Amino acid sequence: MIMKFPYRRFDAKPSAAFPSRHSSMRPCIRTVIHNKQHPEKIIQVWAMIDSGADVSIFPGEFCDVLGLKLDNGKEEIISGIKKETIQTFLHDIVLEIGGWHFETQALFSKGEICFPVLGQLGFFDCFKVSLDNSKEEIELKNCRKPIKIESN
Amino acid sequence: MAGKKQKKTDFSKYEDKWIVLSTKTGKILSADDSLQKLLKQYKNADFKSIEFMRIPRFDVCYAP
Repeated sequence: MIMKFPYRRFDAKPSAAFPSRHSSMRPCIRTVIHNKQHPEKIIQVWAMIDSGADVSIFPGEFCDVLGLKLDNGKEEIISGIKKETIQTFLHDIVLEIGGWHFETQALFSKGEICFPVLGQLGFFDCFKVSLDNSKEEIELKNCRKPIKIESN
Repeated sequence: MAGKKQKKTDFSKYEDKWIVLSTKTGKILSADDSLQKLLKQYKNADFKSIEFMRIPRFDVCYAP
């Protein structure tokens, strides 16, 4: 199946580099995270598609809602463009996008993160992703079979 | 959900905050600097009917 989503517009302020900027269009989509063992436990969040991220990353606070114990997951230290590191823990999840469910994994952070991120493991392992900047459109095609869950 | 046009919501007052949106209407229900506070506030809510979003800072580009 193929799904299309619009980019999401965020407010932005003009800067020296971009004096006429008043908004930024970003590839953000509504994402539902399910506890793999208890799929009725969910949280919905808008997350940024980021092919440069090795793994999807969500705030650790979501673990309470999902009924997961944050540090029961396997530890992974991550860093972004800055050298600062964040402690995260890997958990099995079910990712739901556009009503389709996929078993995968994601990291949950102990520290604060700027934005929930959909990365290589946890998103790109489920979808072939096409980002059309000119159309401001995200196209997703599943690259493996979705699963069926009973919670919906 | 796929292909649906997003509803216009004014996020201008929510820079660098977490917000809770109604999934059905797209309306902002609540906002706070602390995600933990919002999760506490909505701990008994139907999590299918609300969604969380982090509004990025407006004065910087996003580059993780």
